[in-house]
Amino acid sequence: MNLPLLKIEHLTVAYGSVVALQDVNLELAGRNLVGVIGPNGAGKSSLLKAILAMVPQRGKITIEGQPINQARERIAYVPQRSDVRWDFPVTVADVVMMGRYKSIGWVKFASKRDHQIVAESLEQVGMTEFRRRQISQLSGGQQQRVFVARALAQQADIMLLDEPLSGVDTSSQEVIIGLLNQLRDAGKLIIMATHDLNAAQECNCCCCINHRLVAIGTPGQIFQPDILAQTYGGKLLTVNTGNQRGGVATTMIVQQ
Amino acid sequence: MSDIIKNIGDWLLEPFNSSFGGQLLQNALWELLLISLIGGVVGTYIVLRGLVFIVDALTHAIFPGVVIAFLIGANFFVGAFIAGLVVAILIAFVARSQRVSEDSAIGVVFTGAFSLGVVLLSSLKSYGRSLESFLFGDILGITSQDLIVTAGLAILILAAIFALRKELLLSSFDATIAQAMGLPVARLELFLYVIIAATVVVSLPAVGNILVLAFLVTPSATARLFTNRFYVLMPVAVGLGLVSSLVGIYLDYYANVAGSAGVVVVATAFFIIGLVVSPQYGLISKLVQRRRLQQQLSRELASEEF
Repeated sequence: MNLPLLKIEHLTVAYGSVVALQDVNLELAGRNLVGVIGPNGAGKSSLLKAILAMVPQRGKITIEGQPINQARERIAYVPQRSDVRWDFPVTVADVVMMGRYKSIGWVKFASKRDHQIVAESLEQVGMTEFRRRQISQLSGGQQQRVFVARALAQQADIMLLDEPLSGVDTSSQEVIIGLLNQLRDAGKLIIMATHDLNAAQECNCCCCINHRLVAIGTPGQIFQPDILAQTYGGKLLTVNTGNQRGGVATTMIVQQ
Repeated sequence: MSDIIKNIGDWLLEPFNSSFGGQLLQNALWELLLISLIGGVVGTYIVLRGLVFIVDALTHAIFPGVVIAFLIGANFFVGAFIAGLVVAILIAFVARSQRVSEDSAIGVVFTGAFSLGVVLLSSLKSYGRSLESFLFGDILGITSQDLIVTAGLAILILAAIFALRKELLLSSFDATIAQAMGLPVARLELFLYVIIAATVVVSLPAVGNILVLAFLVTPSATARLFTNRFYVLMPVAVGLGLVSSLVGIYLDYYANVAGSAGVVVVATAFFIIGLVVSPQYGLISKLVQRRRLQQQLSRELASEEF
């Protein structure tokens, strides 16, 4: 058993005639914090959504060899913040409990253990004292922490975060980055789409995306003028096959 | 003292004991209580998901179905339900054409359907039932058989919503995550529409096409003013509906007011009171807050001058 935790083969995402991503191939192992960088509209969000089979797509995506629909509970997702009905009468604790709904199952009630997991998740993002607040009565950063806590409560092996640090105050950014590092060290695969290159420096692996996979490697390898130029508007295609720090088998690339 | 209690008791019980119409009022009360119960629960989703306009359209658009069923002597519920489905599909279809915005589509389809119902009904030489009873219902015409149908449907609707409460909550609050977690979001939405349509149809004989919306929306909208918790909002909405129905029935008997309209007026009064006294969103608390801020500001300004 040495299947990669996440394997993406020949992924193409197209909305009608607009191609967001073309022929992306990628293998990622656990114990990695991966930053997906690229300009606006380059297909970062589409990549994350494609992993969850939420966009029109072709290609094959497997989680340790299993197709997404048999492994959905192994992936947690923190979307961009706009999709939520903010005026909904739910508290912080209610929102985090939603991360448990799938494992609680239809009809049944939350168990003691579910409540305990919710409490722990809130603790980890430092939001315990706000657990009775209605979700709209929080700052943007606090709201983002709550959604990260909901993803935590899913206890997934893979966590996908779409721009988790944008519009978020500095202390919340630090909490979130610290937590993501911690999760990485606990063996999880964290994939974070970000347009913030400073945040990308925190990752141990960066994917450069511009409608295709331009390059992948450590921040040291990626943050080169020529690679960034290609990502943010270059023409040439570079394949970077650098090893990851700590000898972790983050496999790479591939791009024709 | 005991005399007073006995008098109040007599006063409260009199409408239902009177030999003339007592049984009718009892039926009316039970029917209104059942409608308030389902209305409060289903209405909570309508209000929170912002479906009020769509449901308004649905209730009006069911009207021609009811009239046609009446004209050809078919079953009332079947006519209403078919009309509801046709209109829902029409709205979806027209909106999808993208030349017309969804709210325009709804506005066109539902007023068109409603007028068709009126035209059909007025073409009749003699109305078997008056236009009025279609529009405003006939709360005193409720039979025990109607009651059994309503009660049966209420149990079904409440059981289904109970079974799916978590999934409905998540997909209403955050459809993206619900989809990411693998919930059948589209089917849950369809389920909700079917339940709304069933609630509307079963309420029509008692409260009519125009007023049914108030039974669905007003108590939940009022409850929203008082709580930030979903599972508190729902019972509060049901409670407000029940109290409004009860008061409405007494208004009907003692003040000779049209029953279902009386209920809606009472429910609306609760809403207006809520707008004024709500601790979080109310007029009074807003004024108090502003006054406090002003005082604080002027105090700070005063202390800065030294």
